[in-house]
Amino acid sequence: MSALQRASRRTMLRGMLGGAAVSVALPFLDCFLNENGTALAATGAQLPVAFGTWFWGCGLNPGRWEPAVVGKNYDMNIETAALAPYKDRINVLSGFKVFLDGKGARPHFTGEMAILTGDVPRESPNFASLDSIIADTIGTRTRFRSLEVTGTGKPTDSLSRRSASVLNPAEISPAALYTRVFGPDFRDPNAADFKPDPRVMVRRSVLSGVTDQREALLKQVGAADRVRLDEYFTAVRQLEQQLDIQLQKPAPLEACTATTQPTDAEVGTVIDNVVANHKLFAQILAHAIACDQTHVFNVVFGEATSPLRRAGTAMTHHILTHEEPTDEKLGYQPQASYFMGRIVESLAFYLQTLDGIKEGDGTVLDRTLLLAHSETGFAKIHSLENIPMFIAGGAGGRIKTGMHIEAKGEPVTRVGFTIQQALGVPVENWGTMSLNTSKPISEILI
Amino acid sequence: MSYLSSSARRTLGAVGFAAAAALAGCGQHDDAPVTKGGPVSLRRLTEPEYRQIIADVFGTTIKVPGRFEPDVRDNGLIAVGTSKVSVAGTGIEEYDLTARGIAAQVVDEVHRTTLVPCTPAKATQPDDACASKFISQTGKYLFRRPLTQTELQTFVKDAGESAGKLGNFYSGLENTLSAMLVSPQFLFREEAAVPDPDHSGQQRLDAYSKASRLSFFLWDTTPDAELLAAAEKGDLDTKAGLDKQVDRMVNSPRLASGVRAFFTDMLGFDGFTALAKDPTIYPKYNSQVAADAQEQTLRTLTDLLVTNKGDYRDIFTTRKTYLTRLLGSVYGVPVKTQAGWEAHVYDEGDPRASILTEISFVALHSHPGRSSPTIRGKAVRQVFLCQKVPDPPGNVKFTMVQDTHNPNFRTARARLGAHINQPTCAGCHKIMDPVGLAMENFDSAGSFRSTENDAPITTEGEIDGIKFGDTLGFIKAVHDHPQTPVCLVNRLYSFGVGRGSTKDEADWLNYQEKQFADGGFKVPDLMRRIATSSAFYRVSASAGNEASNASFSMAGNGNQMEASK
Amino acid sequence: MKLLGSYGRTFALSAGLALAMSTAVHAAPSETRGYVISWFGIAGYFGGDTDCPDGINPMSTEFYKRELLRLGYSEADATNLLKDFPGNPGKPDGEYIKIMQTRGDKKTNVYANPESSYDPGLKEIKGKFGYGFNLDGKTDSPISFIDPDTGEKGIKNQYYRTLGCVRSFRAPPPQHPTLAQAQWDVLRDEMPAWLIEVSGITDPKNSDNVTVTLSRATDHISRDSTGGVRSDMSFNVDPDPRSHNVLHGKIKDGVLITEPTDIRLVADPFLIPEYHWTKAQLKLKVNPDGTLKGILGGYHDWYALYWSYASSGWVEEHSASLDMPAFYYSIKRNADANPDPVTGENRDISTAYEIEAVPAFVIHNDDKNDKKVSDAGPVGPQRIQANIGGILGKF
Repeated sequence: MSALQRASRRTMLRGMLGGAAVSVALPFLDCFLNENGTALAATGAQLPVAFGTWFWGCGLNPGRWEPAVVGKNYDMNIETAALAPYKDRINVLSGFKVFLDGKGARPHFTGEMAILTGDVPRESPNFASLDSIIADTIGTRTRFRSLEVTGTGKPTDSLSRRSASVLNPAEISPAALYTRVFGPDFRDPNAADFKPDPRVMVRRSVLSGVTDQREALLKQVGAADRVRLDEYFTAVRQLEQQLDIQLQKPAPLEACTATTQPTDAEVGTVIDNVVANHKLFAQILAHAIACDQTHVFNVVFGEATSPLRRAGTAMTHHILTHEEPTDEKLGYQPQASYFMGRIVESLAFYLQTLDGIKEGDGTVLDRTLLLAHSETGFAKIHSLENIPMFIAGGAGGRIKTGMHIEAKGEPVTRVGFTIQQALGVPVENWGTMSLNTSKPISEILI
Repeated sequence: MSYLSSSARRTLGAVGFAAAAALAGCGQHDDAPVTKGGPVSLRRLTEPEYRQIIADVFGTTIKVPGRFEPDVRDNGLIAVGTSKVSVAGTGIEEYDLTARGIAAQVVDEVHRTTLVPCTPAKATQPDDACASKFISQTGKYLFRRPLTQTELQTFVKDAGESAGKLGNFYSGLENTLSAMLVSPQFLFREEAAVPDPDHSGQQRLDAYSKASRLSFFLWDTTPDAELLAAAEKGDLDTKAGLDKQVDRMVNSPRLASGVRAFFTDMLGFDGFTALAKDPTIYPKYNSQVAADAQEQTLRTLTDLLVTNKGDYRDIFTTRKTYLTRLLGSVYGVPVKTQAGWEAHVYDEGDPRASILTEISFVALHSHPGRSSPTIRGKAVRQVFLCQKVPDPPGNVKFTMVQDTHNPNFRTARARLGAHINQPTCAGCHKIMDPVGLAMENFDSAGSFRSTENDAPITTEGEIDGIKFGDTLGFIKAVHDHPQTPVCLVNRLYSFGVGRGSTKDEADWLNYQEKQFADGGFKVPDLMRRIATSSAFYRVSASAGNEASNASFSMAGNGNQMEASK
Repeated sequence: MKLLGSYGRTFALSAGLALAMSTAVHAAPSETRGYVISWFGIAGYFGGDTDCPDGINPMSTEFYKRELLRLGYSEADATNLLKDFPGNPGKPDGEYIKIMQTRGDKKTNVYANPESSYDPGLKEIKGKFGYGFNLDGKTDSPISFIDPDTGEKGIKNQYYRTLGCVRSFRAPPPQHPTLAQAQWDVLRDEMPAWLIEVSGITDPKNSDNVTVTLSRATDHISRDSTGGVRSDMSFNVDPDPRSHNVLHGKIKDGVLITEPTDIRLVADPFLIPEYHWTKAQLKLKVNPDGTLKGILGGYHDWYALYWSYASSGWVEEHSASLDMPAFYYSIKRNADANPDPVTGENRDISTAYEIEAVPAFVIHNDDKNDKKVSDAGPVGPQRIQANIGGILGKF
């Protein structure tokens, strides 16, 4: 939307507040129209692509998740057996690593930073995260630029960063997420009648009074603070956009059916509760995509230091990965691996949930690109090699799936770079220092 | 009573910045080394500050609904993180929700009689005069300075338009107040620098910025009417005027709020929100215990440092604390007071002395199901000694660690033996484990135990060359550690200015450390000295971001503590 | 070393030693240990259904149907009246309730006047084993039980005999019977707690001069995160002498037994307003984790026990499946002590209760200013002969 369009919209709103009639038909937001100007859902034309990340901490057991076969027609290995029903729509990515370039590696931090920001920070993150870059391309027209959730109970578990200094906090409660997305501010796209709420118009108008002062305020602060203040104004514009969307009649969406507010399991680190809440999150997020509330989502199943535990035990998943001895017969740490099993099952459930919402001939999963990844190749030693990564979903036909891609020590950034290219982000290379790449994984791209 | 309802009866001064009347002299208020100052800061309000401000401005009956964008810790303090963070889209959504909730209450029929200083001519129509009165008065407290003409006009216009659209004067106020509470002028503590008339070519904070720094430092809230008036009159630019306000504020019971806010930050109490203990292993621990535990430590501290003007270092050896019955059940202490707090003094020789053995330290720095000497040792160093413990290296070859077939080391000391005996691990673990092991008698919930798995617990160890034989020896070692008061001075200063100190300020800090020691390590005196110093208000446009050389952890004590076990 | 403050008998901390509370530590001489009662319920032996050769007593739906048929209702009408069981008193779906209330002679309240009804015949315990004490010293009387744990003969617990075959009073250990559990669980959060203090232990295995105090607190218990009773909590002793019992006893081989005496405890109308046992004893054992477990046994006014359930009328009867007239006749028949000088009928019945207790701090106030004046007259409810009509609400 150009500045001119913004300004004229604001003026129109102000004019309306000055006394014009309430139910003026506002112009249809053009994001729902194709080139011919006809409503997308009405003609059944292509629905927008969605992107999401799905993260878990402490990796998987090396040797038990990489498929034996490289390329097409692979079979899921033991630890990822739960994903077998979707193997044709999944690309398994093994053998990718992080290059440190002499910098220190912080366990449960460096791995995911490299994958999501293309960088190994010395202290704090230096860049926006992958999902944020993609949201700039595909997420500018929805009510929510992106939605972040976490299973382990802290809003700071989120890995989604708008910029070096702006973290998008994650929802910890499914019930709260539901209220946020489908609560009082939700405009049902299939509702028969629609009237712009005058209270929302008023809110929108006074908010303009805040953003109008941007130029003046930015002049008053120093250079570094200008960046932060501008980030604040960017955030306020997001809110303005949400209100704009609330004032528009949304295009009808067949797949956007009614849902009910869930009841949370106890928020915390007990694995059964985390799994239960994750299921609720999955359902709400899938519906959010179907109802076009967002195109970008970020799921932290458990934060990087995996504090998951069974009720009544002292040991967390993380501690077990370090201290549990490897079972001689089995060849892995059985108690730690229990958690990996639950994690993979939950990922499978997530895919199943996306696949469960039919849209015309396909499902939500068909138009989604999901990057599921961890942060270490072997948690016991904090290895940064062979970090498990999966790409799942159809991405609206923009990628090929059903392959095991085995890299020989290639940088993890090739994955994020490939995804950006697939989704139309105009990027020629991505990543810093040895993580910089300009080589997409061509097998995946159409 | 709130700032608003009390000021409703007063007429305040003219809008606009007061001209600073520079009196004779260099403007230097003390004998301390001269500093160049750091950058002007832009600090986002923390959640506790936000809540305190609403309570002070609108009164405690106003509920603050909604959630807050998480505060971020930097260089050991959330206060420093405030200079680094901005607001995400989700955050603005949340601020907006909270702002609407507050605004709705402020103008409701119950509150409008005290909080809105006038009545409109017609409640169903705009009334610019009354709106202007409310907005300028409220805005002064919310923006921590009088509104500019532009700001006032914009808000009054919006209030009028909203009132017209919705047919209700108070709805107009409500929407405008809501916008003000989302405005950067409220959410961010903006500072302004003006040329220092006493030092040509240099700068200092303008009067309102001074008032702001002062008020947040000493009382952790927005400047009250008297402080704003002093700023307006130019009093804060004179030694006498500044001293008067600082004395007023240091001698006020509200100093305790500032001290509490500081220690809540320094001790990392925000970590409690995510802290979980396994109820089957520690049935005594629950969220009420966690709340009481924080309050216990804050009372211990304010009693010693503020009420009794004691020696800061004594917080590590003090036998006096405050308990509720609930805490008594965790510590194993009888508490006579049925509901509420009572003072309790442990006997000489009782290892439960010191804030270091209190639940707020030992439980905060432990796992859900067991204690953690490594985490506790790291916390002692980082929190109280300002020492940085390096992160563990990546890709450590753990194949060197024996894969023991009998993993049941019975005590933590035995379990951690593997760390100490491996050269790659020993380097850092030698710094952390022996310190944390001194507190092993206290389990993950804070209860005392003498054995673990039926093996006796011993608490001997060493910290920076000082050996100790037990917990009591350990807390004395921390008490005597030369870095202990130095760290406090640095932290307190950083808390006040919202950044790490610059190289240029090193001499000044040394001076403050010496004053602190010479004066018996009294914290209110230290706060007074800082608050009346020129250094506290000196700003330098060229200082830029040199001040920040910080580690930027995303989640307080959370992620990295866990990672390092 | 004593703790500061005006505490009476409290914990004494020995220097350098761990706190005694939750770990087993040798008691120093003349140390007093405090506890708060975390479980109190009828002591029953449940070895399986061989205790009840006559069968388990029917559920309330069954005996209500039985009574309706006896009163002359047809099968169809009886079924219809009970179709919305339990229904609501005073509403159409609870019409059967009024009928049941006066099912004896069709006009008198059967709960307050159980003798207006015939004796339906409560099925009772006929097994060999039971918990309690040999209250009358006779080892070979026909009503005696054998203690299943110690083999002691002559145990008197007629109360258990009476109620032991009612389903809601049965549970395989370590579970507690549903009714007792539900009652006690509700009570715990409101009823001022009961406290135990034990002093004079010279040797935890054998001590001759042990004093046990059983008293009431001013506060109810606190819960911990598992929903259980929080240990090491502090309690003030209620100075009211009505609930202040000083017992003397001995520890032999780790088991503490007190000499027979009266025990009184103010309780709660939800349970019983007040307990008063005669010839009562305590048998307590300290577990390795520092908690107490044991039995309180003694004779109790049987009517007070009957009324403690019957006063809730239909509410108690239907939810506990305790046929009140049957209960009345049974408990009256099983009463085994304190004959009325005129009628010769026994007024008291032998009882035993299970006690569990966790460590607690018991604090005595030294000032006597708030001493309560106890009511004049006999303890316990009067025998109410008049027609109450309706339900006395416990709820």
